[in-house]
Amino acid sequence: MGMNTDPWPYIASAYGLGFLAIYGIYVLLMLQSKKLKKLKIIAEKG
Amino acid sequence: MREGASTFSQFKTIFRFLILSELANKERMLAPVMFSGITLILLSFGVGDLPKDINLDFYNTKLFVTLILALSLFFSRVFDLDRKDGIHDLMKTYNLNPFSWFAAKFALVFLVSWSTCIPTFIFAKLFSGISGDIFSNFWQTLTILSATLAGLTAMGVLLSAIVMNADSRALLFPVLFFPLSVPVLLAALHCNDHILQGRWKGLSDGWLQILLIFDVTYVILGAILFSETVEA
Amino acid sequence: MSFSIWNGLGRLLLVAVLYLWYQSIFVLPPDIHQGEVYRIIYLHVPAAFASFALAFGLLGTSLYGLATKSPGSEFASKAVAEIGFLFTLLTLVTGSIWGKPTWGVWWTWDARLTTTFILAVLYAGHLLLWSSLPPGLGRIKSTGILGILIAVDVPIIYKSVTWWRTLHQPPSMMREGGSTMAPEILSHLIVSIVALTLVSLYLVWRRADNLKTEWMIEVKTLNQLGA
Repeated sequence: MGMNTDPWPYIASAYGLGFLAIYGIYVLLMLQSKKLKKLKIIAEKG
Repeated sequence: MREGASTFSQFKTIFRFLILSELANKERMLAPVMFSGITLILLSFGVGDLPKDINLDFYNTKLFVTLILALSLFFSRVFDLDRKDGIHDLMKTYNLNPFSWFAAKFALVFLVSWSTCIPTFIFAKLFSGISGDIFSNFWQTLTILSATLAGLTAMGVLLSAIVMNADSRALLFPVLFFPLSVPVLLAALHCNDHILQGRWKGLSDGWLQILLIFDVTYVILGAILFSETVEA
Repeated sequence: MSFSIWNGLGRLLLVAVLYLWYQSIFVLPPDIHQGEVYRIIYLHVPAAFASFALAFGLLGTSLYGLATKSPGSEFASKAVAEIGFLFTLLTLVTGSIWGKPTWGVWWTWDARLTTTFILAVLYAGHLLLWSSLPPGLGRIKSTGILGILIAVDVPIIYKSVTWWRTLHQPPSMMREGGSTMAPEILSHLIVSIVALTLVSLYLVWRRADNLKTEWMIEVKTLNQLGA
């Protein structure tokens, strides 16, 4: 490894992308779940 | 086919039917050959003369990559003739042993693949400027090519059956076929490299063993899983 | 256990992973050889493990689907493929980010990287097949067969480090004679692997549940239109 390479931008990018991916998907799933709950109630009422 | 016919007689009947339809549509065998010929000519022309050691590696790579690309053209259309007149759906209503059906399809595709494999091999040798005649290391090369074709055929038939009814099968088939064929490709490349470099060890060659393991795996998986695709 | 209890446990896991990442970045000591940049291992390796574990999950849902032909198996398979694809992409990207300062290249056709890339393409192919087929028995069977084929590829990915010469790390954790990693690194890594794999399973469960709800709404709406 290059001795002068600053590792922190790489560490920050990796964990940043990991956070976005995992928690981003979680948030999207939560939002989808909320929307589907409302649609399910509407569908059940007819 | 009479009710209760044995597995082998079902295999013979289906195979006879398939080979007759294939021979009635010979132009299907020409497209992959044309493809491999043109690809090999263009590659050789584009790259030009190479130093001997690089030339050998390049010849090896272009042979198997072109072969797999050409074969994928054929494999993706393996069930096209059956689907055309509703024959495939009709066959599903008969009490056919799925293993006979798979074996017949496998045997047909394996045999017909040679019509692509042999010209590809000849073109690759002719356009690469490799010394030695086409028949040098004949039996070893035949072993590698047979083992390669067997694994690719089993996988090609199964994948073709899976994507047969999919809307985007022209895109789907290569997306699925190429990744799954990588182990076969790598093993075949290494085996052929050993032959070309004079380091061939026969059945004790690790790469040939890997190739044979892949073949057995894919043939068994194909035989078992094909029944799911043809169940009515 | 009820939906809300599983959901609560899942959320707890997500918080636990954040804590583990905090430990990985700020608390644990640097590596003797790689320095600080090795910290990416606590994300890259667990993501890789989760993507491989989900491939076996796909085997399970595919076998279940082929055996029972139930629509539920379809949703489970799709959810596993989607989350598996996400984690495989994460593995490749974090591996690439780790590779640049370590090996000097963003990408190389190293055997394990290549076969992980293959797994990503296969997951994508599975999703493409799912969306190309009409819902029903045909889709359950076709995606089930493909799921089995994908799972067969996973051992090859793991074995590739020993079969082919490679630039990648030789397996540090599971080699003969025991691991070469320091105990605190190894223990933290194992905990991270378990936590992130469980998080991936939680995401799969949530996604499968959403897919099932979507399908139920569609069925109810169609029945009402038909009635």
